[in-house]
Amino acid sequence: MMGVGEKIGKLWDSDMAYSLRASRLTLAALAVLVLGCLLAFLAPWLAPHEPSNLGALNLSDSLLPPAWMDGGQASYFLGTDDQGRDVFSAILYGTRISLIVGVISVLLSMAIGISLGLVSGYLGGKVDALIMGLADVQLSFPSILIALLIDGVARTVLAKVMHENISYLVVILAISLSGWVTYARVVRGLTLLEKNKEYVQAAHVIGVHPFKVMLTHVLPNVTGTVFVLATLHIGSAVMIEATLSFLGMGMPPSSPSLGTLISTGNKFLFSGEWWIFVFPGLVLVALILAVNLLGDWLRDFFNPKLQ
Amino acid sequence: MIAFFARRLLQATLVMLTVAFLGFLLFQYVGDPVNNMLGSDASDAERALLRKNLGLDQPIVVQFGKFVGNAVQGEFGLSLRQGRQVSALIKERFSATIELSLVASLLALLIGIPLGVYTAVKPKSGLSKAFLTVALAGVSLPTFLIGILLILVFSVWLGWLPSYGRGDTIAWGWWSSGLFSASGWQHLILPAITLALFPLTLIMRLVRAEMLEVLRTDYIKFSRARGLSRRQIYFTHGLKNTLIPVITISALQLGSIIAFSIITETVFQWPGLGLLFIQAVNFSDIPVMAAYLCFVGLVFVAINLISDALCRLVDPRLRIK
Repeated sequence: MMGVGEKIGKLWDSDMAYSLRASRLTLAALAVLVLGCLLAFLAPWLAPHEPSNLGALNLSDSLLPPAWMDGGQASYFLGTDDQGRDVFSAILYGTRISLIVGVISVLLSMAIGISLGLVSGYLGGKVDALIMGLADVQLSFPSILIALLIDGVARTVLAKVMHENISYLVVILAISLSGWVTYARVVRGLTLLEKNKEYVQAAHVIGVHPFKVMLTHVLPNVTGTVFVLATLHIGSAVMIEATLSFLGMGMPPSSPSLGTLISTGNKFLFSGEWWIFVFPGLVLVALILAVNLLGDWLRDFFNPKLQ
Repeated sequence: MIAFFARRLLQATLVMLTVAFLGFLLFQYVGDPVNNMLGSDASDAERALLRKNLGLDQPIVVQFGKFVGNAVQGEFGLSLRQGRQVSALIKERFSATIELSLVASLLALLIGIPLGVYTAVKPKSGLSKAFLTVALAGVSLPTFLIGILLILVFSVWLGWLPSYGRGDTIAWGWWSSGLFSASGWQHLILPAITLALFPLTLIMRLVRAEMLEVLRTDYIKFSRARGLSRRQIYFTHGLKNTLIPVITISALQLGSIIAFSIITETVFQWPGLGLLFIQAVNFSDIPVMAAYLCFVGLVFVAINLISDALCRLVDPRLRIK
């Protein structure tokens, strides 16, 4: 049995880690992402104020510039917005929300896509035609539009108060339903390939359910492709969530994500209070850029033509 | 070719019916259809008459049929927010969105394809690296952020270009165009660039990837050995072979441009269909939402059909099937 030190050594020497180490840009991206996740995770302990607690906000402290400028206060490091919310704390909590919504949406999307892909490939026939038809229809619409429509309908159907409480879920649902198709197609392709192989039929003869066999054999083969897709999808999901929030259709101001903060900041940008827009904007761009760089590196790493 | 067309037309009709069905569900069940058609000021007698006419007590299929019949004629009732005919609203704003989308698509293609070829042909040059960095930025910056930054730089700091609205337009019937006045163009540039950046990036990366693959092939090496000029190799032989995925993706990008115009129109207050849709959603204006859904569905289905047909025209291999 290997000790922990030996295992880490083995990981460090592996192909993947070497490729990661070789590109400084990718390492920087990974560092930014890890930092972002840490800050988001530790937000409740790191944030000096609580931006979502409306009772704790002090309106007389609104629209203060960052601490290093005239009129700024040390306790409000990056300034405040029009409601007296500390921008730094809002960014910490906002990053948390943006990342959580992004990651869960992608996970849900993967789950839906992989299951539908397996079912579609294995059962074939009418079920396959139906699911792939649905996929084709959805593929001709951009995901942002689908997410907007789902969110829009949800707002109309649900009463406003109830909607604010479950806006997390609505946004997650909207983003995941708009992105499952790519996973489904990849998994379905592989399932069709494996379905006719002898070991599946052999398993059927023994009494193991072929579906279980396919699960154990198809899934490991898609891991590489799905991993790349998922990483790039996280970047896209964070961007869609930010866009929805900016348009007023995503996370509400009571639990703002980075997009909501940017939307608030936009209103004050041209009257001189630039900090409400710039800092959340920088953080959002840094996050998306980092995820995209990582996704690009992963895709190049797994691309058989470049090896 | 005819069999292909017939099959694709059937598929397209099915997709349109699905989209229309979703619009129908929205129209009949999420809001009050009588309210949607007549507005909130109608009298009880008018409502009763409409209820009978709409056949709200009849089976869903019949109601759906009536909805489709109305939709095909462009009749979607009255906007709950503005009290005007939805069809009139759409007519007013249609030209604004289409102009913006077309200019943005042209920009994306005219800049994206040459840049893609350049970065593939000269991958090590400093200019290539600069272009690729811009590409990365284009993919990582959300559209609304690009728009706001452009406004900040060109409207607020430099004061060169206006930051909202459409400028002077000339009207022909129900089509209004801003392309024929200097002020129209000034208002068009920033939104068009904002809208074009994302598709431009995608097209550039796609052309680059495809060109890199094509340039590795044997027939390109042979043509170099034969001494063909660089322009002949790269454009006549190389680019032509990259065209199929580029056409498909570009067509899909046109569709996505129309979707992303929602964001751009909101940032620049451009009076188009996208802005109309956002206002409708914020107000829960169901008729407008249903109409937008059907309209956008029609546009996408048409785009996909045309792009498929174009692909078959360009690539003879696809015609055998």
